[in-house]
Amino acid sequence: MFSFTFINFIILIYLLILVISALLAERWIKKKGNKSIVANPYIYSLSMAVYCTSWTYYGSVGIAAHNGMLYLGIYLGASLTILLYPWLLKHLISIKEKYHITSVADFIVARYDKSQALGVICAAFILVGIIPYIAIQIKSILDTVHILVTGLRPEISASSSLTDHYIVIVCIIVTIVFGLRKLDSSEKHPGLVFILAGESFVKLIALFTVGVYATYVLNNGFDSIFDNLQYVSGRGYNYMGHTTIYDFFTWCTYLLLSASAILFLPRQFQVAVVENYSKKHIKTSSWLFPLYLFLINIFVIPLAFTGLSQGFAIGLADSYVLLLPMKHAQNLLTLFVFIGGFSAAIGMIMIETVAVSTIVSNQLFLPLLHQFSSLNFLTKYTLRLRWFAAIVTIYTAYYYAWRVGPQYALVSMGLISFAAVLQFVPAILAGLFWKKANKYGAIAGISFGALIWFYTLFIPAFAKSGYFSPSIMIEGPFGLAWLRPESILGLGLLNPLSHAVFWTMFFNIGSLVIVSVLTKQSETEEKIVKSYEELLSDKPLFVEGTLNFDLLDINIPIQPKLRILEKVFQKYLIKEDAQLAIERITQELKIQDKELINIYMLSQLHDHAEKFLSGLVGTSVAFYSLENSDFFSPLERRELGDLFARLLAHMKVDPRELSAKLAELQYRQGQLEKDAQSLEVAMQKKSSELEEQKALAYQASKLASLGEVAAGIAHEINNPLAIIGSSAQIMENMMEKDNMDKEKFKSLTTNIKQTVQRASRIVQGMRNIARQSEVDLFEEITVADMLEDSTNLCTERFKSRGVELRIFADEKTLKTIIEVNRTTISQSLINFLNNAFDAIISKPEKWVEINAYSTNEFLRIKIIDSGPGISPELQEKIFQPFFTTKDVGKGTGLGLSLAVSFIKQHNGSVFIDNQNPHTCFVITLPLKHNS
Amino acid sequence: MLMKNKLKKLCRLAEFRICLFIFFLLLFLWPMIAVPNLQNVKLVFYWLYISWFALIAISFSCDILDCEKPGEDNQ
Repeated sequence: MFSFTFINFIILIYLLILVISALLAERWIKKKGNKSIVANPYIYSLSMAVYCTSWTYYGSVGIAAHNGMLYLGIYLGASLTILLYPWLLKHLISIKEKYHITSVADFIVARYDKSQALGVICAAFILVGIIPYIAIQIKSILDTVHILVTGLRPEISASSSLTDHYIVIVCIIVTIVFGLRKLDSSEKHPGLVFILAGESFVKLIALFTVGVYATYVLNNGFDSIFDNLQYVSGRGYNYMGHTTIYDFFTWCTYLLLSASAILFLPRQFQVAVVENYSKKHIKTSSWLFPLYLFLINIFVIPLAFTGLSQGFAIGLADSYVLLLPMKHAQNLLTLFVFIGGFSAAIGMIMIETVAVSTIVSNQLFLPLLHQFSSLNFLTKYTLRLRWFAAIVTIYTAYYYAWRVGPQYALVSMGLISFAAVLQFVPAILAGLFWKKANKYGAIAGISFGALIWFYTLFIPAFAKSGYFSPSIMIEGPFGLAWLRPESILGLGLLNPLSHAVFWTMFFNIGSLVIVSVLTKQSETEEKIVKSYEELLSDKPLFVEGTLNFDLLDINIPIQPKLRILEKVFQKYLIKEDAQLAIERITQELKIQDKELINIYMLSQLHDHAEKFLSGLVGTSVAFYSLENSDFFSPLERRELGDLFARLLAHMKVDPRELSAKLAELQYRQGQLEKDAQSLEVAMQKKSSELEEQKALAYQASKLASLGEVAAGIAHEINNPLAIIGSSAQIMENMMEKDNMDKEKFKSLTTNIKQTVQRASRIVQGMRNIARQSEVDLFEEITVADMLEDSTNLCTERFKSRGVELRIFADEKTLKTIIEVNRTTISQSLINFLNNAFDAIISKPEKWVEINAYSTNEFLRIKIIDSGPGISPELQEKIFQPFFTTKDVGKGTGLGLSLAVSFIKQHNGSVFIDNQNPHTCFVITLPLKHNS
Repeated sequence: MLMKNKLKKLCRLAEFRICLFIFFLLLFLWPMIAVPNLQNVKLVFYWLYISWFALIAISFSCDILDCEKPGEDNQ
């Protein structure tokens, strides 16, 4: 036994540790701006373990001692729901994030038209329904304190009320300090979540330790316990209840109740949905949380068996966990077990009271205060209203534990609350997965469910405590036996809990479905349903920040809209032009073949029409013409507004912010346009510089080509000069010898004249090539002249190096008139000839052939050399600028590319004839030039 | 790798979760239906706890498949 002062001291020390931990966690988050100390999957999963209250800690052993493995139903059902967490909880969190949901009641209200009436019903029912559950925790703390102090299991009595009040006040203070210290719009309590996780760890270790002690110190392990079970039961007790249909339904009821409670108990909703930081944590919690439940329950049967085998009365089964180490004078273990039980209870009281007081203040107090203008001033004191709600909740729970508690085991009291929470499940699931569910259905369902719950579970609890005449239980109200609370319509096959669950669900689901089918949703509710549908679908309206337009309803007939546009356009255009304009707009939008369009396409159609009209009549007239045309119906305007509102909500900006951002964007666009203009000017300047450089490069190339033929030219000029020189010498000798043979003299002067003319032609050819092509004009010359211009500059060079130049052309071809730029075409041919010369100069067989043939429309010139042809790899590159196969410094790589470029200026073409065994370039030129 | 991706997709399917829910529900109901008079407490105990552990193991496997490190938070 321990003194009350010592127990009090231990409690205070433990609470102090919790306070310091919570404050340190909150300070860490504030200082580092990093929430990872709380926002991690392990803390999230451990905080969910607030599901395991003192009911689990003490009550499971109690129910195991009475009903064998029935207690497991409360955890197996929960684990089944957790299996659905990655799917179901994800949706709940998505909705919470979108609507800033702060509680389970808020969740229901948000779906059903934000109905205040529904909020009031939910809040009132939660307050009443959860009281028994909080009462369990208070009862367990009071009971265990008294056990530690007196060594007996005391009943709560007036004589101990001072101690009880002291503990209740401690519970209230701790709850307010941890959960209701300040208002936060997110309703997240990182400090509270942190200590809930810590408490979950403490209670698990404590129960595990005492379980190991009972199983392996007081017994010889699991096998020995199972072997001896039948001896402790005494009365043929089979430790699994009885295999009747009654027990089967009880088992099913436990599974059902726990499956709903794990997610929809206010505190479970608070930790799993409201306090969630990331959806990624769900996956971890889906195995870590069931593992926790598994571990905390593994020693329940051994503890129950040991309690019974140690001779404790079965009526004390709820306290076996504490009594076992106490009996064996394990004081340290006893204190540790007490701390574990205290953790389980205080954690639940804190989070449940925070959740309930938030619901009561938001859904009950504030709406009621708004109804009475004289009480409106109280709305400023929301935080204090929550404190008041917390005080009322905890004190009412204490009162319930004091007055009703002695008649019930812990488990029975908890299950009353589970059955209350179950009444919300049909409305929640229908809200998520049934489009037609509406607020009237939800109000009817929850109200009927709550009334039947009150009648079948709450009234019997008070009747058994002496608050009502027990005759109501036996004879029914007003003597109507078929209305007995625990046997409505004589349904005695089920235990009271299963009976209550059956009838509450029957009326709840029945009225929800019937009323929803018979009544209609409001327009707002329809929008909410649509929004829920989008959130729950695998194809969200926004994908990676972009609107998924395919999901918008295609339900707007396009023809009436086009007729409106046509009418507007006809104010300013003749009918045919108006129709043509509309046709173009629909083609641009790719809706010309569609009969129905969505709201987004309709707005696009409007914008395009307005832009078109603005070009005709100015923006102002265009805007008002369309504005007055009733292009958008009122419903379409709302739909469009809603779409943009959703877009803004998705972008997380308010309209003012958007407006500021647009102004900023417009400013930036202006800046960009200016920059673009400057860039354009700079580009033009650069471009003209490049053009100049290109022209210079061409000129340089031409000069380079000229250089290549310079040697030939020297020969060409040298030869006539030699002829003139020798003729002059002969004439001089003739004059010295006075031998003035007139005929010979004339022949010599004629020879000199012809030679001078030839030299003159060579010089003219050089001048032709050296001129800039831009100033040259196309002129009509004969093919013979064209070929002569080129060959004149090569003949001597070819001859001097032993290269034979052959020209094949018929008379008709030579006389054919062709319109060419004499300079560039000559240079082209020279380049081809030079290329042939360079290719064959080192070969034993050296010849170059020019083969010309004309038709009525074009001239074809083949330049063939004695080379073996060009490989396919080289053919791809040979016309590219700066490509050369010659040694470095010997070729510019521009010759052939320039030649092709000039040919193309003549609308001609060049290709390599691969059929020819030698290298053969085929040039085709039109006879008439068409610029 | 292909198998892993297929399993990953399977784990994400709501239908797969619902099938698991029904499967384990039947496992949990079985002792109440099929064990005569529930005399064999040991069998029932191990049946329920092993089924429960299998449920945890499947959930754990899905978490492992769905991300490289279990419980990793990229927030």
